[in-house]
Amino acid sequence: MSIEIQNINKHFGKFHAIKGLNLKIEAGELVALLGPSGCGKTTLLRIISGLEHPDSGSILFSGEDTVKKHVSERKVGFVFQHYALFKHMTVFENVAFGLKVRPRSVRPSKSEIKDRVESLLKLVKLELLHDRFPSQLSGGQRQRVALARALAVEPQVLLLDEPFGALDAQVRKELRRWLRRLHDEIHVTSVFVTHDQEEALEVADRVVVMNQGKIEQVGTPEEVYTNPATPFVYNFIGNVNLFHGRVEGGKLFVGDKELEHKGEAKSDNNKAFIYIRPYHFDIHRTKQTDTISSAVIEHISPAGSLVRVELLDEFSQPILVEIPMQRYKELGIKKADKVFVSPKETRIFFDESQDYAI
Amino acid sequence: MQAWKEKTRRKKMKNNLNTSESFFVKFILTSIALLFILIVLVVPMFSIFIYAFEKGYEVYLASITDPMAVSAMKLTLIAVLFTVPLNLIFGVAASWAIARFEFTGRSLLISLIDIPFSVSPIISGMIYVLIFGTQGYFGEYLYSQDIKVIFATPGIVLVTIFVTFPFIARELIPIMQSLGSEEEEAAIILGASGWQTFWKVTLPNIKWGILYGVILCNARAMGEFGAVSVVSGHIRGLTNTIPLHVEILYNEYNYVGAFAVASILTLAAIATLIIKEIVNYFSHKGEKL
Repeated sequence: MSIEIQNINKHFGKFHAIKGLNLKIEAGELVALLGPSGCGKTTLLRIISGLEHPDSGSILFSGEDTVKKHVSERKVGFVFQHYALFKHMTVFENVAFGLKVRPRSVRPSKSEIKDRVESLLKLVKLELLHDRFPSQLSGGQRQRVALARALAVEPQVLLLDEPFGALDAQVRKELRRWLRRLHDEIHVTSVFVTHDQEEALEVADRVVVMNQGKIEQVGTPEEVYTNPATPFVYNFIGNVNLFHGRVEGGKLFVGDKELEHKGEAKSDNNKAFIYIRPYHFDIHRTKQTDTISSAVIEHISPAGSLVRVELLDEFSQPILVEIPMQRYKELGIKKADKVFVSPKETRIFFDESQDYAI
Repeated sequence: MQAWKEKTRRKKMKNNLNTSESFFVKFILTSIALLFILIVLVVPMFSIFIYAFEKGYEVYLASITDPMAVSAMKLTLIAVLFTVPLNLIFGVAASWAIARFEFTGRSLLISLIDIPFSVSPIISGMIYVLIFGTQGYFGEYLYSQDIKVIFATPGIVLVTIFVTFPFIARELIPIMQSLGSEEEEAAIILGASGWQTFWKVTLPNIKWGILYGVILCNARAMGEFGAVSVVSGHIRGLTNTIPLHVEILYNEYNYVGAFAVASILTLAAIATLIIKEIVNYFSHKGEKL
């Protein structure tokens, strides 16, 4: 089932949480809503589920407006951040709940419910724990019970609010791979909320980057990562170095170094923001034609295939550079050395008013 | 794994160290608490029974089977049977509203619930006399309809409800607030109706609070003296509750009678405590498998 979000607005008192938001989610997609806390991503998820009512706008499921449908009629599966398992029920009873509360005419028989629940527990690999109470389970197990419970009612849409937020790092990685595989198996349209870019990029088919109640960019993980549409996305996803530039006579300068650009600067009043990924830098012992700044090495962490070098530029601004181990050995640099950094790739944003530094 | 073991071992050691260090302090604190309870609670409770049986079993039995005493017990029972269910419904509704919804007048409602706690029971009684008494606002109308509220059972039930109505609500509000609404939202998303959500999700979570509130409400309803005393009129065999009857016997220097009837109240209180413990025991047994 596809989901269309049309011009949604939501206020909490004076706070404008969602600002005229539009989004289309295709049937069978796994989409991540990614953004910093307070950006409105959870509110959007709750609006899709029907737990929250938008002030204006509509939500269409397969082209059909859901406004008149009560939460319980929307056929939505929702996994809460803290799971919200029924504490006084066993794992089995938790998963069976959605089936047991159906009106008699559409309620499956006892043995059907039992079969359905058992097969779901098998799916989430908890078949041996069906008599346990939530308090006797680990965080990861609770998460999977919550998921099985949501899937038991055969939802058309599965919504997950920070599904891995409360888990420790190891379990988290395992579970998100597992969720990806599960989605490939059952193909239910799914939306999950996260503030963890790594999680969004690894699990989702498409990532929706949100900020201050608006969408900054929608794209595949690759698009969002390699080609951020806005300075916000640049800052939010992956490490990035920011340089401030100025435009003089149509030319862009950083310090006294001129940078090439594609003619977006209209006037000399333009401020320029130059974003450079750490791995798009090279380090040289001597000044090169494309050197952007001289810098002093503050710290080197040579663990891994990329060596992280932290430097301070002429204005004592920190720069983060990642170079291959091979290159690091060639250079033979060490702490407190004075070197020159050259960008191999840059991304430049011009704006007269906004300050994109975050 | 190794590190984890080491950590727990150290934790244990630390705990042991803590106990051995504070043993003296623990002993003193425990002794003070026990001694205090003994002097203030246990000894007086026992003395009720000692006085009650002072003149032997027959006199005790005669005191509590006296028609006046039986009628007082009946009236107290009636008051409790009306008060507890009504306050239960009110308490659940009020705490639900306060914990789940933001509405204008919400904090006013919270303060209003506390009024019976802050107002002296005598005043509570007098308020009702002022409203329903022959000189009161509705007095004439009630008189013309031949309905007796003051100096009759309805008045006693009304003031008992008034005096005890914060107990259940006050018990439930913090529980409902700390529970949050996530479980209820989960139930509704899974297709449960409001009624199903209440019975299957909310109620099991608040049942201990309800039980505790009911026990407190029940105890107070049985024991209420001041407010009931004002509206009762002390008509023997008609409008005397157990506490009022105890007072009358006591004022007539019938100590054995007074303590015998008082012992009934005490037994009822102890019985409620035991019931609470039994329910507690069985429900926990169920949870732990």
